[in-house]
Amino acid sequence: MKPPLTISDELLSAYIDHQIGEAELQRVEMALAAEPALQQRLEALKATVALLQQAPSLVAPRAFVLSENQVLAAGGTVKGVKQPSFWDKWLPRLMPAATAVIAVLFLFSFALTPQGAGNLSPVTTTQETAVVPMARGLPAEESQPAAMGDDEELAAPKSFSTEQRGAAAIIATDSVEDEAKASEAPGVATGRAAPGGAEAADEAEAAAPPPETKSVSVMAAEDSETTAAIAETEPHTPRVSWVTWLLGLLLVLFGFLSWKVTLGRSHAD
Amino acid sequence: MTPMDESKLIAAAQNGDLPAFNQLVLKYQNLAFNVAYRILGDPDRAADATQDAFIKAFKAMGNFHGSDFRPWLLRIVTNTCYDYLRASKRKPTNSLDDELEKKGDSNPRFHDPGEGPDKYVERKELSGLIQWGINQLNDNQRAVIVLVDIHGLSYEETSEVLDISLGTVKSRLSRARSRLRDILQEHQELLPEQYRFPHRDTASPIHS
Repeated sequence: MKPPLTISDELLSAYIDHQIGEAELQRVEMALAAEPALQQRLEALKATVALLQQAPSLVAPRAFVLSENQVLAAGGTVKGVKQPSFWDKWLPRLMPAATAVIAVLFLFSFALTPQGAGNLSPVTTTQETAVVPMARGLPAEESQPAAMGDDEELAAPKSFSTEQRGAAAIIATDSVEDEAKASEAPGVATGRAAPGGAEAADEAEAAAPPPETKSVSVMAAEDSETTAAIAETEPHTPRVSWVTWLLGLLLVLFGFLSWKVTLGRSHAD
Repeated sequence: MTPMDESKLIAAAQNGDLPAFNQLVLKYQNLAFNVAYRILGDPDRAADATQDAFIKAFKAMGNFHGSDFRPWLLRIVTNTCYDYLRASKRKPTNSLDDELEKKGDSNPRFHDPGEGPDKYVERKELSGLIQWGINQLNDNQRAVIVLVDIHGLSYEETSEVLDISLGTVKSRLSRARSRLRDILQEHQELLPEQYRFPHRDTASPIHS
């Protein structure tokens, strides 16, 4: 009995397509004649190929013609159509991002400024401390120890109300009057207080005769005048740094440009 | 369209002439879509892949130096389909019932040769069965069997399209046919009478 010829499916497949040489062709045909099982395998493969060749052809669901926008969006070039520049391509994406960054910087700048959003009170720290030296005729640096010393009430915290600050200013005004009186007193050579002005003022006060006692109505009238004077001289607007102003202007400018660019894109789409 | 017309259109398209390229698109869009559909097995994704392939082809027209536009275009289409297959590797394949009962937008439309509704339904079911069988093959086998057996490309053209050797075309094709034969034999009650396989002799060895 002859052993079965080993004919692979690869050889059978090539045989179906007439893609084998003369020697292999003879070998396959000899095997097919000798082996009915091989004949069945061949028929099954032929049926598979015939089935595939009968696969229905489909209709394209739409026309796939290209538009200029499709090609340009994919980075291609079209004859007679200007290639979008770097800025044409990236500006619509960069503008909103830049606006957002400027907005964040603006908010940070506004929040971090001492006179910014965190302190919108009409009298600022600088203004408060300036009241005393101006009233005493001293540089601000020299008056600080005094403000922290016996004139503690003058160094009012930021949270004090306008009335409280007004009262502090009135006391300072009174001190000036006291000093003026002290300078007129015998035994006191100078009317200008030395560093550590509070002590000097106390000495002068001690040397001078006691001031005349004012009536309650007169003091009330003076209080109201001084308060009004302070209110007039000190504006109620917060001081914002030039950086914040610049960022604010840039924010408005970039916001407008972003809006225009976005509008242009939506019209183009 | 004569070959002379086509070569003129190709030359114009190489200079960025979009209307000329669109003439080529209209000529080859059905072939491109059918290849994409048989490889991907989904009409919607096949349409997307076909569109992408034409855009890539237009951008790459400057690199076309051959005389035969069809294999060059099909190479781009099959490569685009490979990209889509890689992107959807984790998605499960449809069952046979799903494939046969596709409805709505996912239901592909066939060329109508003027047949009756019964014949149309029969063709549709045959197409679904073939597609389900193709979907069971691996990516490389799919591309070869689609190009050679469904679209009738020669081994040489297929070798050029897929950028593989003739020997690789032969071996992939024979494996794909053998696998598909086995799959279809298991479901041959679904096949039309004329396509049913001869009785399978279980005693005979199959050399694949």
